[in-house]
Amino acid sequence: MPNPVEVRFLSVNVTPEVGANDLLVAVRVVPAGRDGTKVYGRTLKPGEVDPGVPVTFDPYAGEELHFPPGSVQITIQDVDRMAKPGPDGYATISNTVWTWLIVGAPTAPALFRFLLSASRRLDTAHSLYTQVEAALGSFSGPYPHQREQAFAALGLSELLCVALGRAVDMLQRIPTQFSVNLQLPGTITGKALALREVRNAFEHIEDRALGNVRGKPDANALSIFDQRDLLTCGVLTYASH
Amino acid sequence: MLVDARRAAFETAVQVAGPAKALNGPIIFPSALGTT
Repeated sequence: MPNPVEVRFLSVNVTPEVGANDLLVAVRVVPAGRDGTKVYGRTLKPGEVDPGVPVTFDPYAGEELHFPPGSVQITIQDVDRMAKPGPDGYATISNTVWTWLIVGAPTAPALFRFLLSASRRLDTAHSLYTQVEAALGSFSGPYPHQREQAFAALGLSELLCVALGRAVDMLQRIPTQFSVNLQLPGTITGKALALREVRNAFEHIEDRALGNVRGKPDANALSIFDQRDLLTCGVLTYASH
Repeated sequence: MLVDARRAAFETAVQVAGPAKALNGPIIFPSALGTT
């Protein structure tokens, strides 16, 4: 006779095909009592400490496992748990946003695309940030090789700046564009203008190379090419920013 | 800044799609011996 079955997680999947590689999110389930051969389960309540036990039922002894209506609740934290923070505390957000906008309440398609694009740029900015950090911390070898490393660090930094700048711009536009009450912290709003200016200079480097800003000569244009502070203290500069 | 921006994207997702979703239908794993 097969052993009783232990159930620790329920999953929401894309298709009804058993065994398909199509997991959206898995949620922890715990025992919620029994009534004769009916075994009941539920998800953890908000803030509840996981008792660590499975829901155990024995289908070969005639038992059924029931999750009554409302007993299974999926939270955005269940989705976000799949994103593991790195040493700097950042965890990717694109998959959390995509999955939650699929699983949660229906979202306007434009807002879906907007928020997912901003999230993807954030994740890319972080990926570039880790590469810049590694590049800045590894200058070694003959001078030509060090110059290659410096150009690599600068190239990654400017694309980091573009990705982060665009992501922050999009996040700042969400309240007015979509009537979402999003309060951005001072750590973002206080740096947004400088970030936008540096981002604009890097993104339109073809303009700055000619000494121009938006097609017209500008005294600050060439300052984007002086990035010595990046190599000495990891800071990008442009004009007064 | 990246972590704060991530938090803002997360908070937006909560606001537009809710913090949680309850499954309103029953889920039943049947007995191997047939319905009781």
